[in-house]
Amino acid sequence: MGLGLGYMTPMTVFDTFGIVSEETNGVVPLAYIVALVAMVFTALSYGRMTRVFPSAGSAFTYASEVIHPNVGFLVGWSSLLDYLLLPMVNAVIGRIYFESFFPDAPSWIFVLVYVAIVTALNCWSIKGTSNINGVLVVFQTVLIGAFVVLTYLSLSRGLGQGTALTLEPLYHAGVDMGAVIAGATVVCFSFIGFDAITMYSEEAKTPSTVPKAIVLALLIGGAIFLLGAWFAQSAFPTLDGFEVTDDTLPELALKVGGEFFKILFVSAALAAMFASSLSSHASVSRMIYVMARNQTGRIPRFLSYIHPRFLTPLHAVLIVGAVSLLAFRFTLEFVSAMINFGALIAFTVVNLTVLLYFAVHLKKRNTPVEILTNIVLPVIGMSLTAVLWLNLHFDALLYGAIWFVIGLVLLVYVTRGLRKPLTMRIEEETLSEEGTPIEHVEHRKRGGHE
Amino acid sequence: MKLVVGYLATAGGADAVALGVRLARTLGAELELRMVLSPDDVTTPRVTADKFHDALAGQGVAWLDDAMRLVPEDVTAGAAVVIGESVAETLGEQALTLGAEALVVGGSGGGLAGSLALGSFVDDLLHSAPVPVAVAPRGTRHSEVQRIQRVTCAVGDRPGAARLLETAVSASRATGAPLRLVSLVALDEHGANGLDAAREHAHATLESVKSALPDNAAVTAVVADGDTVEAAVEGLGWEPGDLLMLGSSRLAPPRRLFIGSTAARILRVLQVPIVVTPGEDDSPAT
Repeated sequence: MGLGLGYMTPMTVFDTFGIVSEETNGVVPLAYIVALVAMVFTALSYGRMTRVFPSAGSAFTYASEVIHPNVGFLVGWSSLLDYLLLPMVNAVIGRIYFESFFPDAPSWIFVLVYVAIVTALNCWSIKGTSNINGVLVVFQTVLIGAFVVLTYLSLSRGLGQGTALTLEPLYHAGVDMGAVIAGATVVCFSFIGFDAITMYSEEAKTPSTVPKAIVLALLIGGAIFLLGAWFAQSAFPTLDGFEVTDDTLPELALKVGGEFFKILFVSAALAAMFASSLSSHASVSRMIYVMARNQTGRIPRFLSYIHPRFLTPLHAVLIVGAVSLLAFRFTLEFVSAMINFGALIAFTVVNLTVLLYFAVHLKKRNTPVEILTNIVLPVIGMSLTAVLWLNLHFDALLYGAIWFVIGLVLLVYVTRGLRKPLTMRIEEETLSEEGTPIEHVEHRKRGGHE
Repeated sequence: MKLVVGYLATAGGADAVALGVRLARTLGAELELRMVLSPDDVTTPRVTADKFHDALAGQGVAWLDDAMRLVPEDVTAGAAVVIGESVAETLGEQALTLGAEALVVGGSGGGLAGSLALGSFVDDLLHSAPVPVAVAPRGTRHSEVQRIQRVTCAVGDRPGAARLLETAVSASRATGAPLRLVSLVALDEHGANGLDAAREHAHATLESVKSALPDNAAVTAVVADGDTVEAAVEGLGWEPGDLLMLGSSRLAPPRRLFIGSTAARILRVLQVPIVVTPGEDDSPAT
């Protein structure tokens, strides 16, 4: 269960606070509730699908198996966009922190140095980074607790609404539901990661553990986000007085806890960001490597190179690093929207696969319970995620659509006009425990004496 | 008899195979090539697509295939990929499991600092291995030498390196190569005044060591001096086909390797294959 939480970065609630507060006219907590509801339905669908395909854990597989491999490819392709951007989003957040401490320094230098460090560490080796994430989540949660306490004290001294016990953060005059949904699309970004838990479905002791764990992880994460957002919004009903609204984390900390708390808060966020950078860079480059390895041609051959000493996919790591350099000019709002583009497609498709698999393929739609679980719930989930998706920024939809079309062209090309079966696969993760011998261990003898 | 070669698809890995072949020929041993891969189970939010681990293992097997081509027909060899968090620890375990006499590794992968830089896992091995570790100097892969021609054993200024001597004598016997005992006296450690005393002490130590050896052993004894340990050891005169054996530091845990500072300095300058032996079976009674 902790695993699902371990993949979220709770502090992102303060990173995107400014964007969402502006968008929703000061009802960030409401945006979180809307997003959470959509996510809960999706989590239920994920939970059901993990029981159908316990060995796999992604929307890509579900779509390939239930709908068509070609559809699976397109889902995987849109996810690839958000995978590619994940390492970059951390560099964007880091750049904004840097700007908040050194407003006059050229921030592209930070991006260059930061990306260089993360890329270099990835070329070298990245062992054990995934274990750190869990510790960092605990640390972040503690600091969010401190933030809540400090904000409570500030509130009782008359900051913002003067109290946390008001419904202003949830609803007040001038709140437009369309804007709230647009805000919810941004905060979805914070929830991304809960689905990572599905990777462990094969190892779970009882099949029902994973669906419960997904929903529970989501609810706990949601509670932390909601608490943070509620207090932040009570203290700062509007963004008046904020210098940077693209990422408000440093200034929120400064305004409730002073310079020292800001340093502590940003440090924790930086640590989480760095760990996330390392591991997302690592996994994305490995995925590119595996995809390239299954192909022929010059570009794939270039990408499927492993450094003989460091045993890392060196060229893929460098490519991901090059993409991350774009962080010097993109805003957090844009990059998170692009990430949500791929993620929300995946979420919508997962809901759709539940409907298709249980209600259409298995024809389980006779009793009221079956109609509820196999039709009503997935349709609600699908509609909610689809609505969120449609409310993404126009730019995100535009560039996302361009990416999607490229994928479509590629699909037509590799299947020779959809006539041949798909050979290009976006592969699944196989988890191997430390110390277990791999299946490939081969032992061959040669030479004279035998 | 088996020798485990720690392999990487680098120049250093090829050096290790070359030294392994040389030792295997001399000793009539079999080679076991081992490539150690760390568990690579990176997982992050959303990125569930990854079969890197399997792919890496496949690449490892391909690399080992190449490595096997470096082993000539007259030497028996096996190869396998093993998974372990620590390369040094895993190689040590492999050596014990296979009942190997020694581990063979490449001294340097050809890093920026050249022969000065030992690979980090070689350094780990030299501070932990449960069996003797043979380190191939850079360029061993280009050498024409077929067998070990002479075994040199560096004796410290304290008597009692029983395990080292035992290994050296048995290596000399098994290979039929003569054994040369060496005691190193460095000016910078003893100073000009202490030099004569140190030299005398070295002679005495060598004599006592030599007398403890069986009579039929082909043994010569030399005291080498120089401004530094490095100069002393380089001044000894080395030929292709030489092999230098060094003991562990007194600090080494029983039956474990822990290279001393002098040995480490020698290792960095000398372009001769070096075998470092583990500590004594039990802590000295002193």
